[in-house]
Amino acid sequence: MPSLADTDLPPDTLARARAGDLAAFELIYRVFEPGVRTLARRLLARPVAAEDLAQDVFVEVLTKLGQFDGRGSFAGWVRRITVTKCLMQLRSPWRRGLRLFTTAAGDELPADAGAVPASAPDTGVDLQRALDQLGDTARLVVWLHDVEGYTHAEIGALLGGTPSLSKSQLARAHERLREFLEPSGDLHTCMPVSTIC
Amino acid sequence: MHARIDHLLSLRDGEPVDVAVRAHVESCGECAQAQSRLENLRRRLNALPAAPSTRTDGWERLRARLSLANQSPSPHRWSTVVPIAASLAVLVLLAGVLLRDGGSEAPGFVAAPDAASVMLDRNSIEELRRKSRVLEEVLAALPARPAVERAGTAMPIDTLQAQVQWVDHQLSVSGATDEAPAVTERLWRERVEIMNTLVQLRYVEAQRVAL
Repeated sequence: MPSLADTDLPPDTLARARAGDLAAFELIYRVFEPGVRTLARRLLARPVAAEDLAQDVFVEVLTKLGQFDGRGSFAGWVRRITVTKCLMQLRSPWRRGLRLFTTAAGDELPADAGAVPASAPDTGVDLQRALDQLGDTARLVVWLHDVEGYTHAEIGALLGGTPSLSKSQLARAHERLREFLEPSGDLHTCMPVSTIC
Repeated sequence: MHARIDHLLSLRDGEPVDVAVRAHVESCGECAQAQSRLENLRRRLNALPAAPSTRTDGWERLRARLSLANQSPSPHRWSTVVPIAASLAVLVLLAGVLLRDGGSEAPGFVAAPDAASVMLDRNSIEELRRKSRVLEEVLAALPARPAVERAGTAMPIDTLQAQVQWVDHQLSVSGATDEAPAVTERLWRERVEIMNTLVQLRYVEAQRVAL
């Protein structure tokens, strides 16, 4: 699935939507919904919450079309709204009942996080499970960096930190992913033992 | 002498890496294999299929919500909410004092400063950020929302939460584009004011549950 920011709209759709054309609204929804839902699913790790959030995103997108100023792509604007809403949901104290937003220092492995069998077929299911087992911050960093193409500076700013925070989170996340995906592998293959490392 | 994973990630992403590290990875089979695994994992992440949808009525639900969003609030709704919020503001103020050690300041109820006294500098923004953080803490200290909500408070609370999210979005955008500090300050001020109202309403809601 390509990045949400790569999604394209047919020409004139935006203009028609701004004029209140309901068919254009629906087209925007149909074109972007899979990408928005998928991005939310990856970041939130809860399918139902992701679908609800996708609805919230489209309410915002379609009621605030006038605020899209044309700087950058429309898809990028939709993606920004989606990421912001996901972050808000992960951070919101009133929504922490289901899942705590783990900080950089608190990205611990969930208690029920079992390793994914090495023999699991490569359908993406094992990878999705491994992603879900990451802490919120680690999962968000991996997805935004490795798939959505965010820079460490952009992710650091989103998290209220520095690019180094993003880099360290990405490294930790990949270590965890490897633990999940290759539980019997040698996890100490690459260790820093010199001044260059 | 193997490379660390962050070095391997930097190499994978084409970022600057110490020459010695690069040379080591090129000559070390284990490190090259580890880097290859990282590249492969990124490919797999990008190839993951779209998340399946459990609903088929997404557009219909959205249409219904959009219709509601376009309706102006009825006078009856506001005639209920405003007096409730106003009449209990005193209680809220008291709670704010109690929630802070020493009671020297009531951060949950930050009065918007006079526009003429606004200083458009980083100190001002930092102060607003601080107030916003304190309000988040006050909000977090309140009991969880009740399972059964009253429409009179639930709807404004939901609206305020949405407004906070929208301001946060605008802040993230203004941060990314490095807009004028005045814009950033205005957004933070809005956030503080919305959070202030939100705390008040949440307190009212919590009081009702306690009673």
